Amino acid sequence: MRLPRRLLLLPCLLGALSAGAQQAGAIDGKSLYEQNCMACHLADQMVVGPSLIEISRLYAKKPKEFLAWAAQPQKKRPGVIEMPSMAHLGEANLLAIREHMLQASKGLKEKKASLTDPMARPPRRPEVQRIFLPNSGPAAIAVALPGDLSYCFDAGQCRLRSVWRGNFLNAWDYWKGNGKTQVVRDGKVVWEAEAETPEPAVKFLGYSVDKAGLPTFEYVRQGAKVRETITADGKMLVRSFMVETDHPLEIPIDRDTVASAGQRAKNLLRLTPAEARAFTLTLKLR
Amino acid sequence: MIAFALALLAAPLNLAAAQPDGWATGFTLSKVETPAGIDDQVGGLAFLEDGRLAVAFHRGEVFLRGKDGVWKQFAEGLHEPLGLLPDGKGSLLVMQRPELTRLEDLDGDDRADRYRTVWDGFGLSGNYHEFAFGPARGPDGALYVALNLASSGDGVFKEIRGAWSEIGKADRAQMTSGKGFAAKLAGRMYSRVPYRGCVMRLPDGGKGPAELFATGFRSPDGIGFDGQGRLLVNDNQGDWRGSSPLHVVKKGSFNGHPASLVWTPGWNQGDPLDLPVAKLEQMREQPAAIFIHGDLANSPTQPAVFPAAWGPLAGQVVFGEMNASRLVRFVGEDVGGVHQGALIPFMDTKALRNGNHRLAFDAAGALFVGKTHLSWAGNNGIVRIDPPAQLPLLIERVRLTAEGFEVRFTRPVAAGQAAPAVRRFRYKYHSAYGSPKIDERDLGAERASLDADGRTLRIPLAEIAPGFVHEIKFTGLKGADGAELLGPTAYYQVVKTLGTR
Repeated sequence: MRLPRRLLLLPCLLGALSAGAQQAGAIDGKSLYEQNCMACHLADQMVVGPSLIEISRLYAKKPKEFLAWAAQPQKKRPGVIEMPSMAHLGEANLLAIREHMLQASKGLKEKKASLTDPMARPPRRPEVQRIFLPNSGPAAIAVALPGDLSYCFDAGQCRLRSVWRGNFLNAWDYWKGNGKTQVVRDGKVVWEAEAETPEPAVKFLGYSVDKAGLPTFEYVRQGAKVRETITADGKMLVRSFMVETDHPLEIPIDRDTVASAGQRAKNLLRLTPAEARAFTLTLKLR
Repeated sequence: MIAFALALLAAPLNLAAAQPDGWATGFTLSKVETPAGIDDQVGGLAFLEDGRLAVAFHRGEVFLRGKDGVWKQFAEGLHEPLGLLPDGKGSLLVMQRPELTRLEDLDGDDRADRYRTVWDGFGLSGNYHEFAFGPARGPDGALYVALNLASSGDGVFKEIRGAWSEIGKADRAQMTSGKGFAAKLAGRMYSRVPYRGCVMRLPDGGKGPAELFATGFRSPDGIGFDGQGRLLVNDNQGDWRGSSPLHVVKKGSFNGHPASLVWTPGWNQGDPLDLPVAKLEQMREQPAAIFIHGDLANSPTQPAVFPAAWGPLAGQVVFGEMNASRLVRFVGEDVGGVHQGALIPFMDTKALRNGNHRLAFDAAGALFVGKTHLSWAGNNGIVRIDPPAQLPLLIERVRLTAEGFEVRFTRPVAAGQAAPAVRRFRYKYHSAYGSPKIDERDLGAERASLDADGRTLRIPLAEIAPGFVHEIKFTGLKGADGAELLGPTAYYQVVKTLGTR
């Protein structure tokens, strides 16, 4: 493979010779590594790409393969982004970088990524955390309730999406990264709702929290202004609604849910404006 | 400095103890203690009118720091906040992944009671790279936010928010996360839900209907206004970004990355990635400056305007940089109706450390730098840099003249020293990731002459070429008092030339 030899000796590198770069001549592999590689490749641990220890293991005796890979990288590891081509650095510089990587990783031991969250703490209950959750749109809001129930409110669809019993969130894979993973609902999922189709005409307005931190969601559904507070009552989840509307309100309801008011028609609950002013939906959980 | 050295030892990412250098002796850097028990990666940082520091952290907490250094939690539970802006007494605006939110303390106990959604009218595909940046408040009273493109490092969620754009090589099923995700077809960075890659304007402090302000961005982490009300937005090197650009953003402008063109009102030209590069080149706005990859910044961040305490630097703009232990100054000027200028390394010292993400000056002029990494190169915590009583020897500014360049220093330099090495180069505009420097040419600067005050160097050049970065590099230049020139290179992006050239 022919590589461009555009960048040979940058004048600024001449004054900064490093001891470990004899093989590659007068090129400062350390500086080149710091400028071009260090953002993704640390010495002793995987960050965006593999560590220098692992790169050294792969390419200690294979300079040609190193050059070929750097010029034309491919997607190799699941969940890891493909490296951009480094061909523009030129063979001489790439070899100096390789030499530095071999030197800098000598004697180091690979640091294993921590499997547990060093900052883990129990949720405050109630506590709100917006984060990516399974079986929800991306604008998900997790809430830990006093007791052992937690739920997911989908701010995109403005509705309750799931309830689980046990711990709150197992989010270390999410927190340690850049948002690439969905968070695990850390308990037994005891209720779930599929996405509403077609998408409901809703507008999320936000939420207020009381002194303890319990949220009340505010949104507009079919022109009606809704305030919804969700609390736990033993094995039941109670959704309390206060709605301002001048026309009847329709909201989805399932078999496990008991309404304090309104007419049920299949999967919809229909309420008059007067009924909608204050009502509850009580969800019996497994 | 002792306090800072100790802080370095205690820091989780332990760099080798920094050698004292010109920057570390010319300026005072100190570590600001962050609240205990939290992941102190900083997404947003600003000072309230009452002087308290407000900081938004990686896991969604917002804390206020009193002048006594005591932190108090104001809010929590936000989804990757990446910008924070005070909005009157008791209220803060925070840009989080899913929305712009106004945190409101209604009962005056310094804790937000209301998390009011100001704007969530943009798409979320669930792709990790869809960060949301801002808000910046314009002189017109509007808020401006910038939305990141999605990355082919992953696909999208089964459930998304916002209308799906069918424009793209892969259909929605192919783009949905999982084994079948068609990364090769996606485009390196893509925009399949509304306004990804755009700068949006929210009139009347967020009360008015959102409007698309500009397209053409990739990962616009740095958004803010300069002292004259220009909207500055930078972007990260990558596809269509040979090196990270700085744009002075005008309404309706296309700023280079094609993916977001699909959100242009009335767009009818199909997949922007299929347009000829020559056409895109003609459509795009030229950057006002370019952060030289490797030499200045690989991932530039938030702009902040130097206040009066910084003397001759007042009114200039400083940016953070994620990858290197460095900040970058921008010194702009209007030339032929175009704002353009020089980027100059600043605080280029290991004592600063990398991950420099969010910047704000306090009332006395101290610069606070919040750090993050989000699993890329970077750091955590907050560093404070005090304005020195007297600036060390720096390049104060660079101006384009009809003959060449005029460089002004903060202090007199020794007469009769070697002229700078001046060369020019540019970057490719293409879909590939990054670019080598191309069309490099040394420009003789032998005729450089120093004014009698010892502070202004005139550098006549045989030619000045629009579209090129002009690198002005001093080697070994000392002050009249023997001091080292700190940040000895300026990179001036010539968009327009002066006079008859």
